[in-house]
Amino acid sequence: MEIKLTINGDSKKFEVDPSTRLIDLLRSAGYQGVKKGCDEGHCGSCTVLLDGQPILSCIKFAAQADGAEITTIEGMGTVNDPHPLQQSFVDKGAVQCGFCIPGMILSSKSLLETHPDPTEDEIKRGLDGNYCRCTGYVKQIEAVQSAAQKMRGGI
Amino acid sequence: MRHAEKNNKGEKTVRKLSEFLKPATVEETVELLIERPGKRKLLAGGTGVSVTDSQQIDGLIDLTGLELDYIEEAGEQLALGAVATMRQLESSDLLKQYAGGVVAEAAANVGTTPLRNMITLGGSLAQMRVWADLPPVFLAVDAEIVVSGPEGEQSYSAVEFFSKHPTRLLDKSCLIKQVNLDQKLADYRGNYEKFAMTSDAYATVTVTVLAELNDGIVTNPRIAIGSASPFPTRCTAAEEALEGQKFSQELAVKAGKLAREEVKTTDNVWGSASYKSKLIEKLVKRNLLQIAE
Ligand SMILES: Cc1cc2nc3c(=O)[nH]c(=O)nc-3n(C[C@H](O)[C@H](O)[C@H](O)COP(=O)(O)OP(=O)(O)OC[C@H]3O[C@@H](n4cnc5c(N)ncnc54)[C@H](O)[C@@H]3O)c2cc1C
Ligand code: FES
Ligand code: FES
Repeated sequence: MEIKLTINGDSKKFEVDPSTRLIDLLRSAGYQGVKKGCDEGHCGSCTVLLDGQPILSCIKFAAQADGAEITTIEGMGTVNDPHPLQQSFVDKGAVQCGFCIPGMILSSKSLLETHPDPTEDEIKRGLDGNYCRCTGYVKQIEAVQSAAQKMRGGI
Repeated sequence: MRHAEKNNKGEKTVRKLSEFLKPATVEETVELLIERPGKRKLLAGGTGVSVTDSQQIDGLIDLTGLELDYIEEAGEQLALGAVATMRQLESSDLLKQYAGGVVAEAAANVGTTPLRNMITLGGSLAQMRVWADLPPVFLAVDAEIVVSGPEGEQSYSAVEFFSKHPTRLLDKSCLIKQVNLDQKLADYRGNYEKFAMTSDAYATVTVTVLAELNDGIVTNPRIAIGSASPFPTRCTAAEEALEGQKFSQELAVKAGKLAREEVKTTDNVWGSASYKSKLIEKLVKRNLLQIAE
């Protein structure tokens, strides 16, 4: 069956099997920033935004996403022109191996859209479900706070 | 059911899956189920379907085109559509104001933020996992579960619906359409507490308590325990002990003890039966004290 997706602003068509998971479609189409950790909905490394909301692409049937807008980490910023969230994660030392970071950044982006000045609890809730096996989570909270401030025009 | 297989690229495959159907109405959905009995599976949030595989299934019926994602007032009831997500339930103002917000609170305790954007009410009831947050709350508020099938609509009381697994209760050509909440309970005091090892973990035990409290007198108390045993349980002896009594610390302690005796807890990886029993006693007491504040 054929499905249409808008990925990071580009509309694309894909031929999929009804059993194809969104993660496999995205990774084989070159969006390898979508990470496969547990592959069963626990770790959050496969998080992408579907119509602006974080979802787990490893347990999402691609066919069900037909017509949706998908944002992956490739749609956020580049090495030379990082998104404020990406820059803040680097500046605050919130990244070690980096495996969880695409999911963290996308979840943070979705959070800041509705909560431009989030409390610490709101950040914890927004990042809930993104496991990090390296950093210990504290730095990521600081990174989101700092990015939020920049994005509000505070710095 | 068992875990899905993986192909040589590490991608999950559900064998023999050839159809993906997206009906626009409930009637059409039922017809699709009748047409090929046992061959097509309903798909809502997909969080359960995607991690399991069944030899017989070769088609999926996507329910997200049915417009069953409403949360609305309908006369004496609040009607919750089966395809509403946990995210919708937890953020609904109607539900936050209903009976101390027990339904919204239970939904907010399900899984993680991205999971709550996916998991639906109907999927949660159809799977009725031991860890499911919503079933005990629906048992406590005496919700009505509306099911559509070949014979039209049929309503089940919560007591009936939660007495056995839905795969035994429901005909294979049925779908869960809606859950109705009685508005008479809207002003009850209520609390939901999930006890789990971490905020993301499945529940060891959940407690839902509800009551009316006028001049210190308790009326219509309801206590339901989830995750302690395969099906959620109402603590009727504890409820009877509370009914019509003046609320006090001692009364809360007594209700906790009675609840502990009533629930036949079972062991699982999230807690032993005896640990769960101790939790029930403490949590019932604590939640009663909280609603009385
Ligand atoms: C990592 C993880 C953590 C989780 N944590 C929790 C938790 O803490 N608390 C909790 O309560 N749940 C939790 N869940 C959710 C739970 O285990 C199920 O995955 C979920 O309830 C299924 O809902 P769904 O909408 O995704 O259904 P689907 O996966 O689409 O369907 C599940 C089953 O229900 C059937 N079905 C779906 N909709 C209907 C309907 N309207 N009528 C009849 N049958 C239907 C399907 O055919 C299928 O058999 C968790 C899930 C995962 C993956
Ligand atoms: S890979 Fe999807 S949640 Fe772990
Ligand atoms: S930085 Fe390594 S898992 Fe988070």
